[in-house]
Amino acid sequence: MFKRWLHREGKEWVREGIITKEQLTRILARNPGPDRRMSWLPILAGILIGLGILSFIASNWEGIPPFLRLLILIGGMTGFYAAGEQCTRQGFPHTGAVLTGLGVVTFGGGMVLVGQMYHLVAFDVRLFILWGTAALISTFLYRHPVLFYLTFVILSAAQWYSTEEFRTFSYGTAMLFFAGLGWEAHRSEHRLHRWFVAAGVVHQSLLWVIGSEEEALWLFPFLMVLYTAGDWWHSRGWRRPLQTVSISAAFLMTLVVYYNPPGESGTFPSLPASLPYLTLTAGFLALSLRAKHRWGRLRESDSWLLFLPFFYLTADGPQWLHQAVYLVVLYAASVGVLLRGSRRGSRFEANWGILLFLVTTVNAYFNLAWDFMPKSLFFLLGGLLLFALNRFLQHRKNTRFSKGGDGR
Amino acid sequence: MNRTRWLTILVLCQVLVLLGTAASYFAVNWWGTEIRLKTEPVDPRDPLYGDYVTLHYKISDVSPDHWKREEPPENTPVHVLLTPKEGYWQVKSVHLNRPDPGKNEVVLKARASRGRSMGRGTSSPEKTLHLEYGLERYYVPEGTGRQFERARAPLTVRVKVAPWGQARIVDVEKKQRNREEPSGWNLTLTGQGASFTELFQSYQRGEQVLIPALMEMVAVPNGPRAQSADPTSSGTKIYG
Repeated sequence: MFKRWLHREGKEWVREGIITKEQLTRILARNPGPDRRMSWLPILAGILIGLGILSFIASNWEGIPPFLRLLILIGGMTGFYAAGEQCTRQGFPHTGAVLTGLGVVTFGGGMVLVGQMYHLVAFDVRLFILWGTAALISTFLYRHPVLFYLTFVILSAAQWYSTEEFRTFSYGTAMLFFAGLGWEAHRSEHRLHRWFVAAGVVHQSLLWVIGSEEEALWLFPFLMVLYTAGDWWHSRGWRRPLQTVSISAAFLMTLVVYYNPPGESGTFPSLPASLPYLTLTAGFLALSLRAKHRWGRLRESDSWLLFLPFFYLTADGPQWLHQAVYLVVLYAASVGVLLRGSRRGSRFEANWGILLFLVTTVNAYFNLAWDFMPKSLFFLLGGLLLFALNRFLQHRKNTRFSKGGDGR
Repeated sequence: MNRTRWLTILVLCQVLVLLGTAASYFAVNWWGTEIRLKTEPVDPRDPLYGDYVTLHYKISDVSPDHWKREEPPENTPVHVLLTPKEGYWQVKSVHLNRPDPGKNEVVLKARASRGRSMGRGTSSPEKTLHLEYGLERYYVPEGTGRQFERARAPLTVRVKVAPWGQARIVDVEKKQRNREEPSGWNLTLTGQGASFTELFQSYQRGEQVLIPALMEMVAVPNGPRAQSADPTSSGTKIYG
């Protein structure tokens, strides 16, 4: 990706006389860049082989006596792990990681098959926790992204399964996720890991709220924790994933609140007990502001607009007032992100701000204009409005970034 | 410690987990109490989804009186105390915390929810307490589920319950029609002598046979029991 970009841009630079043709050749030679197709091939091959083995065993499964089935499972699993280690040692880390991953998958599938074979009954996600632990230790041993994402999928699915099937939040799974994957993402060079961890934390928090049958609005304090953590833990590239993910989730939650004014218990969403909620909010706000003050980023405090519980004030009032207040909050937050991106010269943040702004406009438009406008006029005007808004915002962004920016 | 050693430990642990899961099956077999459960007639549409049979037990839907809490059950984990009654095990009580089973009692884990309406066809608001034991699926070898599919009659399921609460299905058998009248009699000849087969064949052809003194003739009722019963012990000796 980078090399292709360099190739394209480099020609422009030569044309504009910034660098000479020889310099471009030397720069390109300096950055051979990993050929991504090479690392995806063994992964694809591994998946195909795994599927082949699985379907072969599945179609002949009934004819094999139980004890032999157990031996096949154990033999297959051990074989995958051994082959994975061998490949990694011989300098094929991608193939090795895929084989180890197949070992992990065989372990999980083996537990399910053995359970089915002997008519065993599960009442919790113990099986998933064992599986996740095996995946996590493999991740620690090889530190390969394939194993990291496999663990991510297993632990996220485990928590979802626990909430969906057993109506309980699995603290064991959550611990493995935070401590295990969090630690791995922290010491890894792969930036994407941290984004996954941040998104996974939101996922787990959401399932906690659902599983423990607490008020949905309790999700906000979890997002505050994530955001504040981003303030304090700004080194090693944690700030951007933590704060982008928490602000995005808070934005979506605020949209929910905008449509559904919180009320007494029984309504959705219902108001959480005010004393603990307000205390937590104040506490995290203070912590966050302290960090911002310390590193001179107090100008970014506007993001807190999304986390502040205005609903305690507006819930009892008329609905139009509640919606007006939350519309202002949504717009202010979007513009805040947009301006911050502009100030920092970050294309990524500017685009993200534009997206939030457009989402807010679409929602406001649907909510306010749907009832009293003929439908065709509604869509026509809506489309024109969005078109104009997008042009205006993109134009502003491009004028701002025409003199550089960080390129993301 | 180097990676290979860690990997060896990791793989060994996983092998132990798989073996342990299989071993728990045998452990339930050795230390478990066997109970017999009766199923309701199987759903006539299609009880066989893929390679398992869906079982609905008599103890799956019980009177809502067993639920003592205010709020309705919502997939709530419960412990169900069972005790035998007329050959089958019935629900005695439903608990949130695991009770100590007395003599002739076992405890099964279940998840409780609101079930179907009690009064059929009426607008009775009372719903049964639906209990799911995780024993509702019986995996059968592919293609052999047909024999259960036609079984509209109740089935008897034998379940082993371990003292630590683990349960598993041992066997699903069709309910024996004990009280049904036998539809006829099977005549069996037992005894010694070279002409036994010959005699039997002429008997089958409907000819009159003379039975030597060393032989005896036994009649057993023609029913499901008769197939497996030992004719000399359970039949009625009419000649000897």
